[in-house]
Amino acid sequence: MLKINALNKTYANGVQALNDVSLEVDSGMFGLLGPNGAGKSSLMRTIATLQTGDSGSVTFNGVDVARQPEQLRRKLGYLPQEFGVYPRMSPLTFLDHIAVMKGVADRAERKHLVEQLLVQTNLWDVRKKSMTTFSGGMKQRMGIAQALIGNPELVIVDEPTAGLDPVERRRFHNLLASIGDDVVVILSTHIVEDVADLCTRMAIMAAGSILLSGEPQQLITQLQGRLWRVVVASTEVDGIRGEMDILTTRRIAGKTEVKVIGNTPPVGFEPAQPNLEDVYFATLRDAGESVDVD
Amino acid sequence: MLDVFKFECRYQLRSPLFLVLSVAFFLFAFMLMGSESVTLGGVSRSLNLNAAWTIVYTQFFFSIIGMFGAVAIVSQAITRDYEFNTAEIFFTTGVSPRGFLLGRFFGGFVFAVGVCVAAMLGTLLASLAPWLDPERVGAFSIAPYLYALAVVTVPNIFFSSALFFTLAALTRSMLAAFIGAVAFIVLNIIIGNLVDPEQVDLLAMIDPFGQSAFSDVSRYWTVFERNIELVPVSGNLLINRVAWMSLGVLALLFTIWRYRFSLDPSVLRRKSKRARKTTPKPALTARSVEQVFNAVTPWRQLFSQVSIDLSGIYRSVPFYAILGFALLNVWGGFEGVGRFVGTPLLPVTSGLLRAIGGSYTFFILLIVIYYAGEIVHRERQAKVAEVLDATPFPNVVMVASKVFTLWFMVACLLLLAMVAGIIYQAVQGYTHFEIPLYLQSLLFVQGGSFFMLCVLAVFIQVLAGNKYIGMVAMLAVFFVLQVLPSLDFQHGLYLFSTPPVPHSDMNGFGHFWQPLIAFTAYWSAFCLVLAILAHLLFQRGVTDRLKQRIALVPVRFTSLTGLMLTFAVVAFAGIGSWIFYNTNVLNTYITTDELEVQQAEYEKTYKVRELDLRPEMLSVDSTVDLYPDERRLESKGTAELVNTHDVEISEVMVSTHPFITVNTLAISGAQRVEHREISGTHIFRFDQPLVPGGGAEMSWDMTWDHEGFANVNELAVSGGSSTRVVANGTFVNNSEIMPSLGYNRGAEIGDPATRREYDLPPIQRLPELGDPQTLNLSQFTVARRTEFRTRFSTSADQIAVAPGYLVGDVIERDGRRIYTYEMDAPIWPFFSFLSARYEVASDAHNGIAIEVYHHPAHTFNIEPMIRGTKKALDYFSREFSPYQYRQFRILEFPRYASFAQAFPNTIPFSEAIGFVADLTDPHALDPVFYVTAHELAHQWWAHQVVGAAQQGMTVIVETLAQYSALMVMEQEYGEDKMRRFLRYELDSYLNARGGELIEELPLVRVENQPYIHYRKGSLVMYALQDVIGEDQVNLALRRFIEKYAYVNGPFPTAADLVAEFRRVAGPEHQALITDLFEKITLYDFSVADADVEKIDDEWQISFSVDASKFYADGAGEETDAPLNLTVDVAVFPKPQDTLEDYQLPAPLVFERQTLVSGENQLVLRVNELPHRVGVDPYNKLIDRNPENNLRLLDLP
Repeated sequence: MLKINALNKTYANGVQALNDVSLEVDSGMFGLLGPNGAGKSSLMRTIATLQTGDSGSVTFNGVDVARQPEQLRRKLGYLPQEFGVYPRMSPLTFLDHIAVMKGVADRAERKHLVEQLLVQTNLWDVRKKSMTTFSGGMKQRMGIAQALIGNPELVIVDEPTAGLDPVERRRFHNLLASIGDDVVVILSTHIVEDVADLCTRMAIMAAGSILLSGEPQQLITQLQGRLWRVVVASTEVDGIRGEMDILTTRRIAGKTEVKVIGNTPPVGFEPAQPNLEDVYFATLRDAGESVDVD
Repeated sequence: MLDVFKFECRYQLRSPLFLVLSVAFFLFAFMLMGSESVTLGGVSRSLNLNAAWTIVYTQFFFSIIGMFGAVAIVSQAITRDYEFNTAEIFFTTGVSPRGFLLGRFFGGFVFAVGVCVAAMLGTLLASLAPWLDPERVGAFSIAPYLYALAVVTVPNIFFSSALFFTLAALTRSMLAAFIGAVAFIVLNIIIGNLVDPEQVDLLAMIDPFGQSAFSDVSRYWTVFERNIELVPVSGNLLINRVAWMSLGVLALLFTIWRYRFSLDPSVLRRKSKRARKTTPKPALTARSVEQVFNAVTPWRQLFSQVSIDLSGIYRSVPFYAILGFALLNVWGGFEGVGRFVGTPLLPVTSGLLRAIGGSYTFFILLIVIYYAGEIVHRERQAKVAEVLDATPFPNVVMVASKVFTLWFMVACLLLLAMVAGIIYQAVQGYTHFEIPLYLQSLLFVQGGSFFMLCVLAVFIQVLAGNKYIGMVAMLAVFFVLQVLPSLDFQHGLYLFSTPPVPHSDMNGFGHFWQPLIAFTAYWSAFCLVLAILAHLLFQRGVTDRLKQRIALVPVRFTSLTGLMLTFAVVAFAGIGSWIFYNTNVLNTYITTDELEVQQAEYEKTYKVRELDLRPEMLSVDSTVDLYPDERRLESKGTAELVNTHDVEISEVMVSTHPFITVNTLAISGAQRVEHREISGTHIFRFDQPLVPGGGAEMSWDMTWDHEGFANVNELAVSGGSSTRVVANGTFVNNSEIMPSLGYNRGAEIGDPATRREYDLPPIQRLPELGDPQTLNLSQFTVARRTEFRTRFSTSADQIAVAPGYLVGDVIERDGRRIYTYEMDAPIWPFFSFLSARYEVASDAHNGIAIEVYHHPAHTFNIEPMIRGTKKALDYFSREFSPYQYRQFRILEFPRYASFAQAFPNTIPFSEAIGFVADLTDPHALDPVFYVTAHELAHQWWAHQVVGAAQQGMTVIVETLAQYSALMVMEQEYGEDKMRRFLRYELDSYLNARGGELIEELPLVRVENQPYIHYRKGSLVMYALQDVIGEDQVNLALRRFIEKYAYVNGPFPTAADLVAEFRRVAGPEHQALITDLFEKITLYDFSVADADVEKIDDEWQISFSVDASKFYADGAGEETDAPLNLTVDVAVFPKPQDTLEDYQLPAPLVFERQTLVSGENQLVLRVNELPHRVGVDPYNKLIDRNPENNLRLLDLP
C-alpha cells in the first residue's frame, strides 16, 4: 500500500508543484488524471525517489521513500514521462544492464527474462538494433519492458500514451493490463480514456492538488441524473452561454452538443448519460480551471 | 541574415560560455602582463613587459587557445537547434539557409573575436599597472594592439571559426568540431616537426596561425628591436594571412553549398546494409526472477555499468581518432628526442619515456577534462538518467564507473605510447625492449598523476552539475596548479601531483621511489575523499542544485561511508604529516623567493670581501668515504694555506656547500669568528695576521647525507643536491664536498629584474677587461695550482675515480674498496669524485692511457670516444704543446644533468649525451667526437693556460676549446660537415642574442655568456683561420701557450690572445680582427639578381650582390658601418641526387672578391652548367639573413 501524506513541493522558481497531496493507493491499477502542468510528474518522481518533497511523506509498505530510497527502488518499476536511450545501443544490451542494476544476478535467468520481455513488448525483431532509430511507440514499449524487470511491487508509468497512435496505444494498454493484480500500478495521464479503459481507482489532480479520488464508476454515478444535453446549431451556442453555465461543448456533424449540469433540466435539454470525461471536466471546472474549449 | 545575426548576438551576449571565456582570457592576459612571475614561454625576461613583440606574440598565444573558444562558440551557434530540439521551429520560419548560416556564423565569430579582445584588454590594462617594474615598461603605444588585432586575432579566429563551423554544420555535432580542432592542432605540430626546419618558406605557409612567418622574420631580433618594432605585413606573413583567410571563406562557401535544413544528422553518413538473420522468437513462459541484493551486487552493477560506459567510448569514432592523434603526437615526440647538432640519440627507453612525458601531458589533460564532462553527464545527456536513477544501485557504483572509464581511456593512451615506443625502437633497429620499465614508468611513475587527475575531474564534474561549467572549472583548477609554483607556493602537499622522477639507465629510479610512493599514497587518499564526496553529492533524479544535493547527504551517508571517509581522511592526514616531517623537519623546505632572499642577503653581507686578499691552497690531502647504498659521503682532509701576497692577511672567508653538514672546520692559528649555516659561510680571524710567505693548515670533516626526502621543488632550488650522491653514479666536485676560500660570485642573483626587487645594484658579471686587481686571479678564482692527493673509498662493487693517478693497489676490505689518487704535478683545485658500477674500456696512444668508464649496457659509442681522443691528442700535441698527463679518462654519469666537464685528466660525461648518441647515419654530425675533442682541448685551454678572472676569460677556455675541436673535426670529417656544424652555431648565436638579459658584449669582453664564447666563438675562429690560415692561428696559439702556460699570475686576458692573432695576421687583416673580436659585427649579403649568358662553351653569370655591415650595441641597436672586405663568391652545379639538401656540391668556380657597402656587380665564368650562385655561400661570416646568400639561376 502506497501512502502519500500531506506532500508539498515548491520549486526554486516559485511554482508550487505539489500542494498538500495526500493519497492512499492499494494494489491494482490507479489512474492519476490531470491537465498538463498539474503536478502529476512531480508526484510521480517523488514517489520514484527522484526528488524529495519539502514536507510530508511517501511510504510504500512501510518504507519511507525519502529516507530509504534504496529499499523502494528494489521494488520499483518506473517509466518516466520523457526518456532517452544510450546512443548506438540495442534494447538487448540495455535491458540486460537494467536487469543487472535491478539485482537480477543469474546470467541465464537474466537472458531469459530479457528475451521474454522483448517478445512480450513485440521488440524481438529489433532487439539488436540501435534504439536511436526507434519510433515513439517502440520506445515506450522498451520503456515498459525495463520498468517490468525484476518483480516490481510498485509500477509507475508517467504519461505513457501521449503521442502514440491508436494501435500502439492499445498495444500499450494490453501490456499494462498484463501486470499482476497484486502490484500497485500508478498510471499518470491526461487522457481520460486511459483511465476509463484500465483503472479500478483514480484521482484527478490540478494545480498541485488532488481534487477528487475514487472508483471511476462510482464517480460517474454521482453525476447520474444531473447531466443534460442539447444539440444546437453552432450559432446558437453563444446564446446558451449567456443564459447558463455550460460544462462542455462538442462538435457533432456540423452541429454542437452542449452539456450542462443541474438538478433540473433546462428547457430543451434532454438527460445525458455521464461518462468519465464529464466527471473530469466537472471536477476541473469546480476547481476553477478553465475547461471551455471554444 | 541580419535578423539571424542580431538574434545570435543577443544570444551570445547572454551565454555563459562567452562570459566565462572572456573573463578567463582577460584574467589570464592580465596576469601574464601584470605579474613578473608568470610569463609566456618564449618571452625573454630581458624584454620590456609591454614590448611590441611580446604584445603580438601574446595574441598569437591567445588566438591559438582562443581557437577552442571559437570552436565552442560557433559550433554551438549551429548545433544548438539540434541539441535543444528547436531545429524544426527554426527551419520553418522562412529564413533562407544561407542567411541562417551566415547570420549564425558572423554572430558567433564576432563574439569569438570578442574573447580574444578581452585578452587584449587584459594585456593593455595590466601594462598600465602601477606596480610594474618601471625599468621594464616602455612608452605606451596602441599600435601593437591594433596590429595584433588585424594581423593575428581576426585572421586566426576567422579561419578557425569558419573551418570548424563548417565541420559542425555538416556533421551537426559539436564533438566532431572539437575533435577536428584537436586533430588540427596535433596535425599541425606533427607537420611542423616533420618539415625540415630549414624550409622556412614552407613552414611559414603551412602554419595556419602565421606564427612561423612572424617568428621567422623576428627570429634574430634583438631586445631593442623586439621592444619597439612590428613585423612588416609583407612577404610570407602577408601571403600566409591571405591564404588562410581565403581558406576560411572557401569553407563557408562549401557549407552554404552543402548545408540543408534537415533533421537527419546523416548528411555525411552512409547507411550500411547487412543481411539479417532471424532467430526464432522464444515462446512466452512464465518464470519469476530472483533479485539478489547482497555485498556482491554493487560489484556486478559496477561491472555492467563500466562495460556500458566503455562501449560508449570504444564504439565511438572519436576515440579512435584520439588514439590516432595520440600516436602521431607521441611519435612526433620521439622524433624530437634530444637532437644534438642535428644528430639523434639512440632510442633508449629512458629517453623515450621522457619524450612521452613531454609531448603527452597536455594531450592527456585535455582528454581527461573533455571526457570527464562527457562521461559523467552521459546519462543526463542521453536522458536515460531518469530510468537508471530509479533502479536500486548505490551512487558509488555510478561514480566509480565514471572514474574507471576515464582510467581505462588514460591507460589506453599510455599503453599506446608504450607500443609506439617499442615500434619506434624496432624501426630504429634498437632491440633492447624494457617492457617492465615502460609499464612502471607509464602506469605509475609518470601516469600516476593522470589517474589522480581523473578522480579530480569526476569530482569537479559532479560538483558542477553541468559539463561545460565543469570543464571550465577543471581548466581553472589546472591553471591555478600550474601558476602556484611561480607564485612561490611550491610544496608538494598541495600541488596535486606526484613528484617528477627522473630515470637514468645507470641509477634506475634511484632513491626517488620513496617520495614517489609517499606522494602517491597521499594523493590517493585525497582522491578517495573526493570520490566519497562525489558519491554523496552525485546528481541523481532531478536534484540539480548543489544545495538540494547537499541536503541529501545525510540520507546518503551510511556507516560504511563514515568508515571509509574516516579511513581516507586519517590516511591523508597521516601520510601528509609524514611527508611534512620528511620535507620540512628532516629536510628544509625552501621556496624560490626564500632562496632569493638568502642570495640577496649573502651578497649584501659578503660582497665587500670579494677582493680581499686570501691565502692560496698549495696542497690538498683528502679522504673521501662514499657509502652509495646509504647515499652518504664523509669528506675529511687538510689543505696547506700560504700567504702568497706581500701584505699580511688577518681574516679569511671560507665557503662550504649549504647542503653539507660541517662537523669540524678549522684553520691553524685562527678562530672562526662568524658562521652562517644557511649560506655555508665561515669567517676565520688569525690570532696573529698571516705574514707574507706564512702558512697555516685548514682541516675539515664534513658529511653529505640524506635523511628522508625533500620537497619536490628541491631540485629546482638547490641545484640538484639530491642527485649528486646516489646509489650508482655519484658525481660530486670539490665545491660541494670541500671548503673553498673566498666569496662565491656564482651565488649572486643574475636576473636584473629580480635584483631590482631586492634593491641590489646592477650585476657586474665580471670585472672589466684589463682590470689590474684581478689580473693575478685565474678563472678558477685562485692564483696557484695545488698538489692533490685523495684516499677515495666506495662500496666493493663500485669503482671510485678522482683526478690524478692511482697510487699503489686498490685495497679491498670489509666490503669496501679504497683507491688512492695522486697527481704528480700541481693542478687547479677543481676536483671531481665519481663512483659507479663501471665497466672500463682501455686503450693507449703514444704512451698515454685512454680509459672510458661506462655503464655496462652503454657500449655503443666507446669506440668513437677513443678514436676522437686519439685524433685530438695528435692534433693538439702537434699544433699546441705536449699533453701534460699520461692518462686520459672519460667517466659516464647519470642523466640528471646533460653536460661534460673537464677536470685534470678526467672528463665526467653525461649518460644523456655522448653515450647514447646514434652515430649510424654517416651524413650526420658526430657529437661524440666533437664533445670528446672539446673536453680534451680543455686540458690545454684551462689546465695549461687559463685567463685572468675578468671579461673575456672564457674566450681562452671555451672559444679556444671550440676552435681546437673544430679543427680536429674538419680534419676528420671534411669542410662540408664543418659548414653544417657552423650553421647550427650561427643559428643558435643569432637566436640567443634576443634572449640576452643584460648586454651583449664583443667576444673579447665576453662575460661567461655561452652563446658568445661557444657559438660566436666557433664562427669567429673559423672565419679567422679561413682568412689568415690555420697554420698562422696555431702559431699564435703556440706562442700564447709558451708565454702563459702554468704561470702563477699575472694571467693572460683575451686581449693578450687577440694581440697574438694580430701579430701573425698581416696588416690587411687587422680591421677584420677588430670586427671579429672587438665589436659586435653583423653582415648581410644577398644575391639580388643574376643573369646567365652562354658565351661559346662557357656560361657567364652576371649578378649583383647587396652587401652591408652593421655594428650592434649591447641591446642590439644597429648602426651601419662601411664594408670593405674580401668575401667568398661561388657558382655551384646542380647537386647530385645522393647529396643531402644541406650539402653544397663542389663549386664550379670559387673566388674571393672585395665587396663594399651597397650594390656590387660581379661576373663569374664557368664551363659547366651552373645552377646556383652565392655570396659567402658557406656562411663563414655572421649574416643576419643567411638564407638569401644563394640564388637559383634562370638558365637562358
